[in-house]
Amino acid sequence: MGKLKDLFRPKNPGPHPNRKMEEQLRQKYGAFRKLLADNQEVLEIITDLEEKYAGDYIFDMQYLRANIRKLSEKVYSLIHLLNEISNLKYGELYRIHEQIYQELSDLLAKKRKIPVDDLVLSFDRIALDKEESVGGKMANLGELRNRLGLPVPEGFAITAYTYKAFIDYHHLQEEISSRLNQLDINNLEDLIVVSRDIQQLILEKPLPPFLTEILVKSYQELTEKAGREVRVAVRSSALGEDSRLSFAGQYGTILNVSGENIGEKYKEIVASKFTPRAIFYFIGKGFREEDIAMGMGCMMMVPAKAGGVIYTVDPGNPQRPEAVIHAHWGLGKTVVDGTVTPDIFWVSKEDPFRVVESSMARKEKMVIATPEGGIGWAEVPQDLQEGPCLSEKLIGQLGRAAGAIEDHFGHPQDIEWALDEEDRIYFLQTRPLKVFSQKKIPSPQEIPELSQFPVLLETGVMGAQGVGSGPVFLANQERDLVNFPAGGILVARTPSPKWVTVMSKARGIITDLGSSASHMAALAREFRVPTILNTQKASEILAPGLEVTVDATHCRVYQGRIEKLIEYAEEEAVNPFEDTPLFVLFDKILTRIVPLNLVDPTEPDFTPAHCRTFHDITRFTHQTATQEMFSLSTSPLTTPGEALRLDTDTPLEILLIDLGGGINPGFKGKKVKLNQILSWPMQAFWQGVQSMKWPGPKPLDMKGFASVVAQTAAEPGGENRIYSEKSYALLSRDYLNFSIRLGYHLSTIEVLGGSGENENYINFILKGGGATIDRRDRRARLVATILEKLGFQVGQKLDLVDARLIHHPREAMEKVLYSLGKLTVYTKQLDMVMFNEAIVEWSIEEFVKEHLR
Amino acid sequence: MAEKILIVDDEMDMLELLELIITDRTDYQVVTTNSPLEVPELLKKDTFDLLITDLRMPDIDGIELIEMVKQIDDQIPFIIITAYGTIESAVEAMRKGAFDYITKPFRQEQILLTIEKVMKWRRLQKENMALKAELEKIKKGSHG
Repeated sequence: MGKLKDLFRPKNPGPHPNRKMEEQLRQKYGAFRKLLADNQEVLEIITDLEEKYAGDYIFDMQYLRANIRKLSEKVYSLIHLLNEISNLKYGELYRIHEQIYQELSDLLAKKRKIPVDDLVLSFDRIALDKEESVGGKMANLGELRNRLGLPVPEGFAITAYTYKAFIDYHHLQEEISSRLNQLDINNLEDLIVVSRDIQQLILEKPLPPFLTEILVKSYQELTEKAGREVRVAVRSSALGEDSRLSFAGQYGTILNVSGENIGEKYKEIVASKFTPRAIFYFIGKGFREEDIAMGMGCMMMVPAKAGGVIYTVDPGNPQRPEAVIHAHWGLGKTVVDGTVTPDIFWVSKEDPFRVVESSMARKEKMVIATPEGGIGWAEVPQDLQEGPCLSEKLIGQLGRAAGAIEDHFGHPQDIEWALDEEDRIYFLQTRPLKVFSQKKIPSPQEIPELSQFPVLLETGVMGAQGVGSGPVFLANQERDLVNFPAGGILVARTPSPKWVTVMSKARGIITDLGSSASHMAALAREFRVPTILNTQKASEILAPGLEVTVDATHCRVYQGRIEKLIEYAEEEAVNPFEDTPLFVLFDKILTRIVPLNLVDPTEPDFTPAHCRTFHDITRFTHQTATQEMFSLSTSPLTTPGEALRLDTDTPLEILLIDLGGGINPGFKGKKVKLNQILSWPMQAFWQGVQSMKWPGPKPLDMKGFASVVAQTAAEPGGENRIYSEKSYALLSRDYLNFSIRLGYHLSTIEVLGGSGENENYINFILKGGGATIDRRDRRARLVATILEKLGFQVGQKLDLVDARLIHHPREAMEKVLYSLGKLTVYTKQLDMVMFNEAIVEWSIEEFVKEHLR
Repeated sequence: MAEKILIVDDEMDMLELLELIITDRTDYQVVTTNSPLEVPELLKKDTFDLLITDLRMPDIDGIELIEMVKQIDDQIPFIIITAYGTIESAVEAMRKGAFDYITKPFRQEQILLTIEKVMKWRRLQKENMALKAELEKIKKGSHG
């Protein structure tokens, strides 16, 4: 026999194939641990960026560049490690990472591309999505006209692409660049000279024929719409950076321009890109000049009887609920420039749009459009000087529009309007209004009234700031969310991205476990749901239905509804930096980083192709790596090879593969006793197994249809045949990956501890059985119910149980693993006897009573 | 007369955020420049009660700037802004007489508190100088 073996033995045996396999397993495990650490770091960087974005901090571009570089490197590392674990299954992620990284680099380098578009777009073709082509000013106007249906004068916009066409036609770019490249912007004399030269260069060039043609045509269309010769207001609209450049030039708006002068005014607007101030600004900010374009809007002049502005929030008193209207006779320009004292009306933004307060000014002079073009001062007729320049009805109409515009844009607006001779209102501009809210949520010590309310919780960490109030709703499983009430406070043991389904309805989220760097916390911040995590005991203390107020900013939960606190929350903290270039850029940067589109791993779109942000990639790699690791032990080796056998009284053959630190390094031999195992998850689990009496074969109920395999189990010696298949356990000191074959079903347990509670988890899957499907289903339900009692999130479908426990500290996990060991033995072949529902109930009760500590 | 703060930083964004927050939350007047070489000129033209400067700038660093400022006005207190990890230079700045330093990124509250602390000290300093001058006058009077 021995000789025969020799015949087939390879001549030059290399390393044992299983040695290699084990080495690969160890490498995968190492990669997995690193992936978890990197994942944590990525989430921390994202949290940090979001914190800075909230407006409490002052920072600079250097901070952004450094953090985004670090983030990008870490996300790349995640992709690399996942591919190491999965044998290069997810190469596609590299491409997606590269794409996002490129976009971020362009943003940070302030590289912009002027989009190709038509030379001219009439107002009916413009909305916010055209901002890159026509600038924010015109895009907002298009939004008012086409999305909100508000009256806006007819007109057209000359696009950024036209600017490029004009510059290219005269080959000006090279001349401009060479002058700018030699300029030291801190030398004011030079700056003025270069500015004058470039502007001269532009103004002396004729309009290209194609541009003249399109301007004539567009103007003709305007006159046809009006049925007469019209004058236009020309507005510059800078693109490719931010709003500050648009008034850096001196040609913000030129009023009352005749048709034949539009071309000339266009050149002036283009030249205004190169005022000394504007040059200093874009070079100083590191913009590439060639990517910044000047656009222009042309709109029909409204022969204004009166005009002015609306602030949808009173800047002097942001707490007031009313909009404030400043109005004067003639063109609203005087109100905008502050050259007259206007009438002021405070009007409600809600039906019935009542005038709440008004203050009248004496109006002696006004500005009007003069017949010869341009504008000039005129006397206000005597009988109009004293009274209000707007009727209650018109003020109401403006109040209604103010509410609609503010709602549409989602933040306070500064709106220009005009009133024509027939009392028709037109809107000329809307832009974000800076309102500084100095009110923050005060600390509990600053609000004496709070002492009247019992404090239910004062622990945990802030996941997302703010205050919310409502009834407590306890959720253990995703399916519980079906009944989640709008305005409820979600209380759960663990955070889960799956809670996102109720975030738009929730007024607060409180969990026992978790950290502010979790995916769920990022989602809560995105949805602005006040969130407290890691309270340890919220789900035990807070009774369902109880009305509470959550102050997430100070990690406190009060009993009852505290109006005083809620008021603070409703005055949503306005970020004072919101409109600064840095924050405008930051906002764009975050859209490529923070939003999480991949929430549910069971959804078909949970794939690399659907990753659109760094957060998506992070979520995908983390989830997928966990799944890849989970399946490692189901078939790691074809033959036992170098694996060690576990010394056990059970009929199971269990092979151990040490990934490092799982087994006493001094151990010699083939059979490992439990006391030689240093892996605490394995210790806890196996102690649970050993504490149970190994059950014999189950009595069969041959009345029902019992499967052939069940027969096998009942035959003498059948047990041994069933357990002849091997089970593998991969171990390290605080990791266990154990696929345990118990006859006809397979349980896989994967445990990770020791990386900080945020990363700790137990995954458990049970599948199969030897009985008919209805009985297997009953056993699965029994297992699922007990797992829920142990704190798992459980999914169950027929004979498949898929459960996960996360964020628990080691001691708690050891207890759960011990119980899981018991449960594994208890439910072995139990499907055979699951004749009816009563047995399921009885078995659950018995197990809980006898075996759950 | 409102007290004045001069802020020097080569990063326009930083200047802008600081200016926004100081003018929004305090009554101080703010002058900013992204060119440290302009500072002597500004100091000669105007009186400032506080100088806030970044430590790392391309043309001239914060320490050199302090030296330069002291030549013109040795009374003016300054606050140094440092990037995280350049604490050693901040310590050096403190040795050169900086009132305090603050590490980027910092909270709004933090800079406002630091400014308030300096301004209180500045008022005392001015009062002290005024009293001294008064005393000198009295002394001269009694001698005369």
